[in-house]
Formats: sequence, C-alpha cells, structure tokens
Amino acid sequence: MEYEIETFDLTKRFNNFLAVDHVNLSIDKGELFGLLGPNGAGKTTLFRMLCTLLRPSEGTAKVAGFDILKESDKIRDVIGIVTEKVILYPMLTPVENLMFFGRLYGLNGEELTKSVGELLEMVQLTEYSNKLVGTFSSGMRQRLSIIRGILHFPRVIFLDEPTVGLDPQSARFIRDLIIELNRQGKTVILTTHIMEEADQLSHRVGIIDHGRIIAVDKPQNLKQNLNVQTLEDVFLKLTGKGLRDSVESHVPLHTFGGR
Amino acid sequence: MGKSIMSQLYIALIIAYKDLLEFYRRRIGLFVFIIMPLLMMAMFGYMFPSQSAYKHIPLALVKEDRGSYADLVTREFWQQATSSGVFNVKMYATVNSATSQVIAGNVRGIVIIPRGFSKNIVSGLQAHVILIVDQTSPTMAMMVSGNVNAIFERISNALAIKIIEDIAQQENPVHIIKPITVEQKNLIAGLSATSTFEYMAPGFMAMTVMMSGLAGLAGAIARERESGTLDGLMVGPISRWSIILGKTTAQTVRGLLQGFLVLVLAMILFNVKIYGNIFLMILILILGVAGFVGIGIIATSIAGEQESAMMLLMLMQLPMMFLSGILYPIEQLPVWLQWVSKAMPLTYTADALRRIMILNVGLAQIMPTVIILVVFAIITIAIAIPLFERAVTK
Repeated sequence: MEYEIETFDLTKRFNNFLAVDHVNLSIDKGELFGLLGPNGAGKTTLFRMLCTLLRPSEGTAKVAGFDILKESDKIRDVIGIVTEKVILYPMLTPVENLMFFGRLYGLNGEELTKSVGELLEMVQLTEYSNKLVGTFSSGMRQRLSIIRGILHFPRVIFLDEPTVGLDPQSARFIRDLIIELNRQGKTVILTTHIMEEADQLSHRVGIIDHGRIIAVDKPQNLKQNLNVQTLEDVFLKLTGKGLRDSVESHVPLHTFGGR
Repeated sequence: MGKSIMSQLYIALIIAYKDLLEFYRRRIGLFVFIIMPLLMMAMFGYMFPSQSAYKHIPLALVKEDRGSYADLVTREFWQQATSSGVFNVKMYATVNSATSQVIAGNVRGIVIIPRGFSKNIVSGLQAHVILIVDQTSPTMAMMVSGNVNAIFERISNALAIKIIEDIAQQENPVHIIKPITVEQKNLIAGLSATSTFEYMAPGFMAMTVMMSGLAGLAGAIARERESGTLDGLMVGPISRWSIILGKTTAQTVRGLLQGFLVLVLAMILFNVKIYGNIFLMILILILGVAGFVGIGIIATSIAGEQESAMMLLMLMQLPMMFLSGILYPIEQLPVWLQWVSKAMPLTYTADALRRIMILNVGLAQIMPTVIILVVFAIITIAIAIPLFERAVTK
C-alpha cells in the first residue's frame, strides 16, 4: 500500500554531528502520528526535512507520493506547517496575515475572504480580526497559527509543539482542533514533549533518540510491552533518565537551530 | 499552482506589499527613516568649508608703521574685511599682545603692517604685510590665509593702478598689471558655481537609496528568518526568486522614497537645484539598488543572523561612504584607493546622478555607467541566489 509519508534511510549531518541517522519510517494516509524525543534527539531536523525546509545529507523521503529531493514544489502545495515559533507577522492583523498566506497559495477573491472569515470564526478570533497580531496572547497566536497552516486545505499537516507554553484552555482547544482536522481525513504529524497529549491524540507514536527511531507503535502497545502505566514511563525507559543538555553550537546558525 | 513568470511576479508584489505595510506600521522605523537623511545632510553638508561657511572670524591687526601708506592700507583692509563679514577685525598695539590672544584662542590670526612699510612703497620697493595664523586648525588657517591674501591682492592691485597712473601716465594701467584675466562660464545657463551641497546632494541621494535598500533587505530577510516567518514563505509553493524579488521591490520603493526625501530637504534647506530629468534619476537609482541587492543577500546568507549581517554591512558602508566620491572628488585619493573606489557601484551611481542633476545629461552620455551597473548587478545576484538557497535549506 502507498504510505502518505515514507522515509528511506533519511540522514542529516551537521558537520560531524549526526542529527538524523538513517531513519526508515512510514506513516499511513489519515494517520495522526506523534513524534517524540528528548531535546536534541533529531525531531525538528526530521520534521524540517519532511517539510522540504532542510536538505537531507543522505537518503530521501516521500510525502504524499512526492520525493522530497526531486518534487519539493509539489510537496509544498499539499502540506501545511505549524511551528512552535508562530508563522505570523506581528505588525499585521489576523485578516491581513491570512489573506497574505492565502494569496501565496493562489487563493483569492471571494473564496479566500469567505474561508478566512470561517476559519477565524472556528478559532473564535472574529472579534479580534482587525487588531495587530503582535498584541495577541500566545494562545490566540497559536490558534491563529494553526488556521494559517490549514488555510489552503493541505493533505498533510506538520505540527511542531503546537501547545507549548499555552494555558490548559488553549491547549485543550488546540488538541480538539487537531482531532477534528484528522477526522476530516488529513494526515497529521505531531511533535510534542507532552506525553499525555501524544498518548491521547496519536494513533501511533515514534520515539526518536540520537537521531534514530527506537520505537514505533500504538501508545497502548508500547505501554503493555514494557509493562508500564503511562507513555511517559515508556519514554523514560527507552531514552533514559539522564538530562539532555543540548548545545546548539555544532549546528550552523543558518539552519536556524533546526535539527 | 502555475509557476509562470506572471504568477511569480504577482507573488513578488504580494510580498512587497506586505513588507511595506509592516514597515509603515513600525513607528520607530518610520521616524528613523525621516530623521536619518536630515541628520546626514546637516552633518556632512557643513563638514567642508565653502566661501560662506566661515563668518566673523576674529582677526588681530597690528599697525607698527606710522607712515601714510600704512594708514591707507589699514583703513582699506579694515573696510574690506569687515564689510564682507568674513572677519571681525580688532586692533592691537603690539605683536605680543596679539600673539597672546591667538594662544588663548580668542583670535584666529594676526595681520601685521611692519615698520618701514610706507617707506618701502615710497622708495619704490616691495612692501610686506606679515600674516600669522592659528595653526591648531588647518582648515581655519587655510580660510584665514586665503581671505587675507585675497583682500591684499585687491588692495595691492588698486595701489598698483594708482602708482602706474602716476609714473607712466597710462590711460589703461590694468592691462600692464594684469594683462590676462579668466572669465568663467557655465554649461548650464543660470547655474552659478556649484555649491558643496549641490555636489553632495546627488551622492547622498544615491547613498541613501542604496544603503537603506541594502540594510533594509538584509534586515527584512534576517528578521523573518529569526521570527520563523521565513519558514512560512519557504514552505509555500512559491519560488525563491519571488521572495527575493518581492523583498527587493519593497526595499527599493522605501529607499527611493527616502532618497527623494533627501533631495527635497536639500532643495528646501540648502537651495539645491535640479537641472536634469527626474525619470532618468529614478532609472539610475534603481540600477544602483540592483547592484546592491546581490551584496545584501550575500551578506545575509553568509552572516546567518540579523546582528552579524548588520555588522558586515556596516563594514561595507563606511568605505563606500568615504571612497565613492560622495563627499569629495575621488581624484583627491591616492591611486590605489581610486581603484577601490572604482570597484564600488555607488561611485558610478553617484557620478551618473550628479551629471544628470547638474549637467542635465541624457541616457546616451551615461550609457557606460549604466552598463557597468547592470553587469555588476547580474554578477552579484548570480552569486547571491544560490548562496541564499543554500543558506535557507542547508
């Protein structure tokens, strides 16, 4: 069967540092996949390679059937990303931000205006639609950031720590939104440090450490196999309890710290 | 998604509009945008002395000779020196008292009519006036010496006419004293001698457009990269060209607005006049910016983050400012620095702009400059695009 995302020995080296080490992973169409790993384990690097934001050093991957090396243009048409650093211009209003990104995707006119209005309604930001985004709370920004990522009806959505730093209300709202998007048939790849979130949302989780995928399975199966109660226990058992102090100096700055 | 030229241009325009909107909303940026040119014009405009730059320079006059010619010359000098407003002349009884005033910084020079001055003239010898200048400031010393010499040149001429009339009974003694004179005419009717401001205004305009474009472009790309929004552009189905073209367009528009602000200020405050075609000026400025865009992108790609990019650009900005013939003619520089100057696009832009503004030259006459700028732009952009691509997807 055809996977929505499939990697083939995908590898990324920064100078002598092996950030992602021959990863082979496949994600089904319509799956909600959680990608977990300690800081510096290679989550973001893997994520960025799949989004065509970073060129692999070795191997390749397919997203929605397109090769990330040869068909990056086609991939960009069908993916949406939401990152921890929200992709929004603080000096523009939500409407201006959404219209701007919508136009980049070739949307315009009535259709774009209508869908911007509906999306703002969905994340309950209609009354702030003409305020500058720079004045928004982090929860409001993240809600807006998500609809920015899905404005062009992508098939595959990449979410990099979408609930980090949010209050429980906003985090819950965003989780519900993720579930809803997945229910609409979109494939979702979610990276997070919040184990409960991954447990609750993901059909399957992959745990990455030192650039290698060390486990992929349903959260339930992982817990049973290791005979522990929570996904956090699974995670700590597999990746160890030692603190991960990650220093970014071995990564060139112009990768914007992405690993 | 079509990737036709038209759709790429459309995307570039959308990005340009977005950048300009952001710029317009940054109040501080807008403030600096207007204040900078004002400061620049004021600071550099008064840096170099012009005839009118120095007024009321305090000058000491010591008359040691008591003869009739000394009286006459003193009176004449006093009259000319003060009426022109260049000097404030004060009489001192002795050279020593005047010297102590120079040392104290109260006067900038001493003119001495020494003993025997009148006697020399009467006996048919050359008479000397002594000038002592305050050497702490070479510019001031030059101004004092130049003006004192000019005044005595005139007095000396008048005296010569009188003497020749007396001895030779000539009807037109001027042709003996000064058989040749120089009459200066100008290429443009109505244009008197070019003022320092008129010399500098085109260069400043060019520099403002380019530097603001350069720093603005580097800043805009670096800011988007640091805030994470560049990812949003890069992950979209748009070409790198559109991003660069859009950002460049926004910065060029901004730079041109600022450049014309400089020009308008120069016209209002410093009486600078334009004799040339304004559209030709815009063309040259846009070409100049194109030459800088590549440099800006290269700097941003190499530097990685905003601060380093800015530092790299500062490093380029200083020599460009002083070596591009904006403030003074490059002929003033040693030969090796003239070569450095010739490697910088600003030199050509400023020169072409100056000739358009002051001499009203047409496109044909500045074609060599246009070609140099186009070649420069093509080379730097050709280096810049792959570097940018590598820097953002490495």
